[in-house]
Amino acid sequence: MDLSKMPVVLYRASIERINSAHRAFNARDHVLAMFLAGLAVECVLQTLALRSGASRDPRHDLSAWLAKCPAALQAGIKRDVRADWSRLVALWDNGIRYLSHDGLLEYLRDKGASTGISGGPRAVVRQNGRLVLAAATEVHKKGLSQWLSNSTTS
Amino acid sequence: MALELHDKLIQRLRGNFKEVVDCLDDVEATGRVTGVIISPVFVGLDHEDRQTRLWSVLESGLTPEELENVGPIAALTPSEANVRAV
Repeated sequence: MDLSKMPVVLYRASIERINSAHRAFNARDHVLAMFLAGLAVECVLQTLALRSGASRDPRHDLSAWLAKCPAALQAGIKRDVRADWSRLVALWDNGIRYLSHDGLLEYLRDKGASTGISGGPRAVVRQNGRLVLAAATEVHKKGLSQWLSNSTTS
Repeated sequence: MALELHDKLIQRLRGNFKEVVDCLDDVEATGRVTGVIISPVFVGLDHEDRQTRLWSVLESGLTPEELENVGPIAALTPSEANVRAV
Protein backbone atom coordinates (compact mmCIF):
# COMPACT_ATOMS: atom_id res chain seq x y z
CA MET A 1 0.00 0.00 0.00
CA ASP A 2 1.31 3.45 -0.99
CA LEU A 3 1.32 5.35 2.31
CA SER A 4 0.91 8.68 0.51
CA LYS A 5 -2.57 7.48 -0.45
CA MET A 6 -3.45 6.30 3.05
CA PRO A 7 -5.61 9.27 4.11
CA VAL A 8 -7.99 8.95 1.17
CA VAL A 9 -8.11 5.16 1.53
CA LEU A 10 -9.03 5.53 5.21
CA TYR A 11 -11.58 8.25 4.39
CA ARG A 12 -13.38 5.97 1.95
CA ALA A 13 -13.14 3.05 4.39
CA SER A 14 -14.73 5.17 7.10
CA ILE A 15 -17.83 5.75 4.97
CA GLU A 16 -18.02 2.05 4.20
CA ARG A 17 -17.65 1.09 7.86
CA ILE A 18 -20.36 3.43 9.17
CA ASN A 19 -22.78 2.18 6.53
CA SER A 20 -21.86 -1.40 7.41
CA ALA A 21 -22.40 -0.66 11.09
CA HIS A 22 -25.97 0.46 10.40
CA ARG A 23 -26.63 -2.59 8.24
CA ALA A 24 -25.27 -4.88 10.98
CA PHE A 25 -27.49 -3.22 13.58
CA ASN A 26 -30.56 -3.60 11.37
CA ALA A 27 -29.65 -7.26 10.94
CA ARG A 28 -29.55 -7.51 14.76
CA ASP A 29 -25.84 -8.19 14.85
CA HIS A 30 -25.32 -5.69 17.65
CA VAL A 31 -21.79 -6.76 18.54
CA LEU A 32 -20.56 -6.24 14.99
CA ALA A 33 -22.49 -2.97 14.71
CA MET A 34 -20.85 -1.62 17.85
CA PHE A 35 -17.36 -2.58 16.69
CA LEU A 36 -17.82 -1.20 13.17
CA ALA A 37 -19.27 2.08 14.46
CA GLY A 38 -16.16 2.85 16.47
CA LEU A 39 -13.92 1.62 13.69
CA ALA A 40 -15.56 4.09 11.29
CA VAL A 41 -14.68 6.91 13.67
CA GLU A 42 -11.14 5.62 14.10
CA CYS A 43 -10.73 5.56 10.31
CA VAL A 44 -11.90 9.13 9.83
CA LEU A 45 -9.76 10.42 12.72
CA GLN A 46 -6.71 8.63 11.32
CA THR A 47 -7.48 10.15 7.91
CA LEU A 48 -7.44 13.66 9.31
CA ALA A 49 -4.46 13.10 11.58
CA LEU A 50 -2.33 11.60 8.80
CA ARG A 51 -3.32 14.38 6.42
CA SER A 52 -2.15 16.84 9.07
CA GLY A 53 1.24 15.19 9.12
CA ALA A 54 0.87 12.86 12.11
CA SER A 55 2.89 9.68 12.05
CA ARG A 56 1.24 6.28 11.94
CA ASP A 57 0.37 4.74 15.28
CA PRO A 58 -0.54 1.09 15.80
CA ARG A 59 -2.66 1.86 18.87
CA HIS A 60 -6.43 2.13 18.57
CA ASP A 61 -6.94 4.97 21.01
CA LEU A 62 -9.66 7.35 19.77
CA SER A 63 -8.65 10.15 22.14
CA ALA A 64 -5.01 9.91 21.05
CA TRP A 65 -6.03 10.10 17.39
CA LEU A 66 -8.31 13.08 18.00
CA ALA A 67 -5.42 14.86 19.71
CA LYS A 68 -3.48 14.58 16.42
CA CYS A 69 -6.35 15.99 14.35
CA PRO A 70 -6.77 19.66 13.35
CA ALA A 71 -7.75 21.96 16.21
CA ALA A 72 -10.95 22.90 14.36
CA LEU A 73 -12.19 19.32 14.55
CA GLN A 74 -11.26 18.99 18.21
CA ALA A 75 -13.14 22.20 18.98
CA GLY A 76 -16.13 21.19 16.84
CA ILE A 77 -16.49 17.85 18.58
CA LYS A 78 -16.26 19.44 22.03
CA ARG A 79 -18.73 22.15 21.04
CA ASP A 80 -21.33 20.19 19.06
CA VAL A 81 -21.16 16.49 19.93
CA ARG A 82 -19.43 16.35 23.30
CA ALA A 83 -21.86 13.84 24.82
CA ASP A 84 -21.61 11.56 21.77
CA TRP A 85 -17.82 11.68 21.93
CA SER A 86 -17.78 10.91 25.66
CA ARG A 87 -20.10 7.95 25.17
CA LEU A 88 -18.05 6.60 22.31
CA VAL A 89 -14.75 6.88 24.20
CA ALA A 90 -16.32 5.33 27.29
CA LEU A 91 -17.83 2.31 25.55
CA TRP A 92 -15.83 1.53 22.41
CA ASP A 93 -12.66 -0.49 22.38
CA ASN A 94 -10.85 -2.11 19.50
CA GLY A 95 -10.94 -5.35 21.47
CA ILE A 96 -14.71 -5.59 20.93
CA ARG A 97 -13.88 -7.35 17.68
CA TYR A 98 -12.75 -10.35 19.74
CA LEU A 99 -15.92 -10.54 21.82
CA SER A 100 -18.90 -12.82 21.47
CA HIS A 101 -22.35 -11.57 22.45
CA ASP A 102 -21.79 -12.89 25.97
CA GLY A 103 -18.30 -11.44 26.03
CA LEU A 104 -19.66 -8.02 25.12
CA LEU A 105 -22.35 -8.33 27.78
CA GLU A 106 -19.68 -8.97 30.41
CA TYR A 107 -17.60 -6.07 29.07
CA LEU A 108 -20.61 -3.72 29.28
CA ARG A 109 -21.47 -4.88 32.80
CA ASP A 110 -17.88 -4.26 33.90
CA LYS A 111 -18.23 -0.70 32.58
CA GLY A 112 -21.51 -0.21 34.42
CA ALA A 113 -23.32 0.19 31.12
CA SER A 114 -26.06 -2.28 31.93
CA THR A 115 -27.53 -0.22 34.76
CA GLY A 116 -31.05 1.03 34.20
CA ILE A 117 -31.72 -1.04 31.08
CA SER A 118 -34.81 -3.16 31.48
CA GLY A 119 -35.04 -6.51 29.76
CA GLY A 120 -32.58 -9.35 29.55
CA PRO A 121 -29.01 -9.65 28.30
CA ARG A 122 -29.99 -9.03 24.69
CA ALA A 123 -31.61 -5.73 25.65
CA VAL A 124 -28.39 -4.57 27.32
CA VAL A 125 -26.29 -5.31 24.25
CA ARG A 126 -28.92 -3.93 21.85
CA GLN A 127 -29.38 -0.69 23.78
CA ASN A 128 -25.65 -0.06 24.14
CA GLY A 129 -25.16 -0.93 20.47
CA ARG A 130 -27.83 1.60 19.56
CA LEU A 131 -26.23 4.31 21.71
CA VAL A 132 -22.72 3.71 20.40
CA LEU A 133 -23.93 3.61 16.81
CA ALA A 134 -25.83 6.88 17.21
CA ALA A 135 -22.85 8.54 18.88
CA ALA A 136 -20.39 7.27 16.26
CA THR A 137 -22.65 8.45 13.44
CA GLU A 138 -22.64 12.02 14.77
CA VAL A 139 -18.89 12.09 15.43
CA HIS A 140 -18.22 10.55 12.01
CA LYS A 141 -20.19 13.37 10.35
CA LYS A 142 -17.94 15.91 12.04
CA GLY A 143 -14.95 14.09 10.64
CA LEU A 144 -16.40 14.02 7.14
CA SER A 145 -17.14 17.73 7.36
CA GLN A 146 -13.55 18.42 8.37
CA TRP A 147 -12.25 16.34 5.47
CA LEU A 148 -14.52 18.15 3.01
CA SER A 149 -13.48 21.56 4.31
CA ASN A 150 -10.08 20.98 2.70
CA SER A 151 -11.39 19.33 -0.45
CA THR A 152 -12.93 20.66 -3.65
CA THR A 153 -16.72 20.50 -3.95
CA SER A 154 -19.05 21.37 -6.82
CA MET B 1 -15.78 5.31 -17.12
CA ALA B 2 -15.89 6.66 -13.57
CA LEU B 3 -16.25 10.22 -14.86
CA GLU B 4 -19.23 9.33 -17.07
CA LEU B 5 -20.88 7.42 -14.24
CA HIS B 6 -20.14 10.25 -11.83
CA ASP B 7 -21.80 12.78 -14.15
CA LYS B 8 -24.84 10.58 -14.70
CA LEU B 9 -25.21 9.90 -10.99
CA ILE B 10 -25.12 13.61 -10.15
CA GLN B 11 -27.59 14.39 -12.94
CA ARG B 12 -30.03 11.86 -11.53
CA LEU B 13 -29.66 13.23 -8.01
CA ARG B 14 -30.03 16.85 -9.12
CA GLY B 15 -33.11 15.87 -11.11
CA ASN B 16 -34.70 14.54 -7.93
CA PHE B 17 -33.21 16.55 -5.11
CA LYS B 18 -32.61 19.88 -6.89
CA GLU B 19 -30.06 21.16 -4.39
CA VAL B 20 -27.03 18.89 -4.33
CA VAL B 21 -23.36 19.45 -3.52
CA ASP B 22 -21.19 16.89 -5.25
CA CYS B 23 -18.40 15.59 -3.01
CA LEU B 24 -18.03 12.27 -4.77
CA ASP B 25 -14.65 10.87 -5.77
CA ASP B 26 -13.69 8.91 -8.84
CA VAL B 27 -11.49 6.04 -7.72
CA GLU B 28 -9.03 5.80 -10.57
CA ALA B 29 -7.72 2.37 -9.68
CA THR B 30 -11.13 0.69 -9.78
CA GLY B 31 -13.34 2.97 -11.88
CA ARG B 32 -15.82 3.27 -9.03
CA VAL B 33 -17.55 6.34 -7.62
CA THR B 34 -17.83 6.90 -3.86
CA GLY B 35 -17.85 9.71 -1.30
CA VAL B 36 -20.31 12.24 0.08
CA ILE B 37 -23.49 13.89 -1.19
CA ILE B 38 -24.77 17.01 0.54
CA SER B 39 -28.38 18.10 0.21
CA PRO B 40 -31.12 19.73 2.28
CA VAL B 41 -33.40 16.79 1.44
CA PHE B 42 -31.59 14.89 4.19
CA VAL B 43 -32.60 17.35 6.92
CA GLY B 44 -34.61 15.60 9.62
CA LEU B 45 -33.84 12.12 8.30
CA ASP B 46 -31.82 9.52 10.18
CA HIS B 47 -29.01 7.51 8.59
CA GLU B 48 -31.32 4.76 7.37
CA ASP B 49 -33.86 7.09 5.78
CA ARG B 50 -31.12 9.10 4.08
CA GLN B 51 -29.65 5.99 2.52
CA THR B 52 -33.08 4.79 1.43
CA ARG B 53 -33.80 8.17 -0.19
CA LEU B 54 -30.44 8.25 -1.92
CA TRP B 55 -30.44 4.71 -3.22
CA SER B 56 -34.04 4.82 -4.41
CA VAL B 57 -32.99 7.54 -6.85
CA LEU B 58 -29.82 5.71 -7.87
CA GLU B 59 -31.51 2.36 -8.32
CA SER B 60 -34.21 3.85 -10.53
CA GLY B 61 -31.80 5.96 -12.56
CA LEU B 62 -28.77 3.74 -13.12
CA THR B 63 -28.35 0.38 -14.82
CA PRO B 64 -27.36 -2.71 -12.78
CA GLU B 65 -23.88 -2.51 -14.33
CA GLU B 66 -23.56 1.12 -13.30
CA LEU B 67 -24.81 0.38 -9.79
CA GLU B 68 -22.06 -2.21 -9.44
CA ASN B 69 -19.61 0.66 -9.73
CA VAL B 70 -21.18 2.92 -7.13
CA GLY B 71 -19.47 2.55 -3.78
CA PRO B 72 -20.58 3.66 -0.32
CA ILE B 73 -21.97 7.19 -0.15
CA ALA B 74 -22.44 9.29 2.98
CA ALA B 75 -25.41 11.67 2.99
CA LEU B 76 -25.00 14.96 4.86
CA THR B 77 -27.11 18.07 5.25
CA PRO B 78 -25.60 21.46 4.35
CA SER B 79 -25.35 22.45 8.02
CA GLU B 80 -23.61 19.19 8.95
CA ALA B 81 -21.13 19.67 6.13
CA ASN B 82 -20.85 23.37 6.84
CA VAL B 83 -21.47 24.30 3.19
CA ARG B 84 -24.26 25.90 1.19
CA ALA B 85 -26.10 23.64 -1.29
CA VAL B 86 -26.32 24.85 -4.90
